[in-house]
Amino acid sequence: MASAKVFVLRTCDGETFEIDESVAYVSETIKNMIEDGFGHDLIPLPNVSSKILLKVIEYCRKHVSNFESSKKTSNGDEKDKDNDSWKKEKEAVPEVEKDAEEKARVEELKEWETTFIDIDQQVLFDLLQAANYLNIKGLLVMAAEKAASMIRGKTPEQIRETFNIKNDFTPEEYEDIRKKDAMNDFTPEEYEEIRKKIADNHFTPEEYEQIRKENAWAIE
Amino acid sequence: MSSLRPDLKGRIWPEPEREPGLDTESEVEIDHFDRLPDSLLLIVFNKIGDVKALGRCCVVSRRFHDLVPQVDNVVVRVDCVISDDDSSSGAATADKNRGAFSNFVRFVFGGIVKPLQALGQFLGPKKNLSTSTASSSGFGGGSGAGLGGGEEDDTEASGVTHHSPTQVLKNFNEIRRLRIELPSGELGIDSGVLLRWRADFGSTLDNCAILGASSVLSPGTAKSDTGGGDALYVGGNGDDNGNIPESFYTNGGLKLRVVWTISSLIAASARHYLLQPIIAEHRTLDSLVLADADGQGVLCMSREQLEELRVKPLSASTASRRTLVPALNMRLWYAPHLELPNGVVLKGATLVAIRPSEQPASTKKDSSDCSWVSAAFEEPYGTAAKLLVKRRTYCLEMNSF
Repeated sequence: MASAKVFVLRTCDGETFEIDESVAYVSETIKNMIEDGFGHDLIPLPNVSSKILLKVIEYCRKHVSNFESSKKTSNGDEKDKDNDSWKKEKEAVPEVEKDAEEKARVEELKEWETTFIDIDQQVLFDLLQAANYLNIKGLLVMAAEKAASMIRGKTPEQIRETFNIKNDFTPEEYEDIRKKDAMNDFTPEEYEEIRKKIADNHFTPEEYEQIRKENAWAIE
Repeated sequence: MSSLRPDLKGRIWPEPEREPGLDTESEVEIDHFDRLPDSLLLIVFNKIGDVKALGRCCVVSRRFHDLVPQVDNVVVRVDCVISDDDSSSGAATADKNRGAFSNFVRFVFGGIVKPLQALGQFLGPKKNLSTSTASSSGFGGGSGAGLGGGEEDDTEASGVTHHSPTQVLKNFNEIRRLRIELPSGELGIDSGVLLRWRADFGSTLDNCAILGASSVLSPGTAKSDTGGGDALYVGGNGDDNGNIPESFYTNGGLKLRVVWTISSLIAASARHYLLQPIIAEHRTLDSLVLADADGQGVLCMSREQLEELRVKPLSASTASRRTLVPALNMRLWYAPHLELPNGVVLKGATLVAIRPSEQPASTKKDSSDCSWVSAAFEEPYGTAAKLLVKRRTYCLEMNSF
């Protein structure tokens, strides 16, 4: 293979980073800049600090290497979707092996992502903005999901505390809104208690026996 | 500032920074959300999903309050299901002039599956919840209120009020993806029995796939099974000729499958009926899914199907609060012993693919095309469906009910 092209990115704090073409192309923004002919010199990223760009590049590199290994494990699977491999029992063994490899790859990726996104708020929000600016969908989704997970399960006051958000309602507005919109300000623990007190609404099928004695069905 | 510190892997809490000149009476820590434009904040909100979490976001601040109505992805987890217990006795005695089929169906409806009459969520101000009668007073009581009427005070006695999904969703104006999750499947089945269905509806049933098995053996336990019950089991999936054994017709196997089929269709059509007010109100919907926490049944509607329902209202079944199921063509596949690649064994595995007998002229689908059936179920059952579809096909017809 010919040597991969390399591009140089420059951050707002003056640092430069060299990355392969495949890694660069993970960012739609950078990809467009290169395709528009701006890749010959440095590609300036005035909105991104070096600390954050390091994180972004880490993500892009992982994304590329993960894509390469996924092609190996699921390649056969993709091709066989509609043809005879389901009929031939003999083919079952390689399929299962590929499945196991694929599963392992997915597991490893999940673990990597969990570690990757375990960062403080400052970095998380910087990353969110960078992913948005650089148009890296996977990273944006990951960061947004992390932020969302920090909101889920908390009471409004806990949300405010976590993110240092100011309650800018007047007391009257707040009462009004709380009644109309909030609908539920139980903590997750209180809520679980309530749920446990509600019996399941399962229905038993003794009637099945009776039905079996009735009616024959026509089959062609 | 903290950005000069090395990028640590561990989670660190932001330290409060004390800078001279800062207004120290308000918080000294940064609200990072201030740095994000509304569009990004909306992306985060769209990932939250849970409608109750979104409800709490509404009261956090003015900005949150103004943005939440624009969220396009919402998941409603229903806490309780209210069934109209009184309706079953009424239905069983109604209209004896109908054919045997209809009476059969009515009996099935009354006994085995109690379709949802209303969905409710126990919400509201904190009250004394120690009354254990919450469960009994929450159900039945002839409420039969349906989705819209959930705000009636049936359950005041138990100390909580409940809100219907329709109510809970009225704050949202731009929902595109809506998922509603019931606490459990409606069909009460014997433990060990597998029963899953997936139905797609427009104004009426478009298609339905049902997968069942009389028992499921985990890997390992299957090895000790000598397969004595079924003379056709010789080992391996491809070795019998794919035919249904004679015993199936006489030992109640076929009738059980028919009961599964009808129960699933009743559950599906009842869910469809309940969704009308939500569909009418939220015209931006691209996808609507009504599933349950057990994974027993999934009802799906795509954008085209939702539009079709708005333009052409559904026909309701006269006896009960559910959509009329049209006359159907069904294809059935059966395997007495089905081993999946992951080692799980399904005994008495059955797959049923259901479509209305009258297909609209515009449908170009080949009637023998089965790819949608295999795609209907998540793994490992998708694989089971793919295996079953290769076996001999049996065709059935069913009247509308």
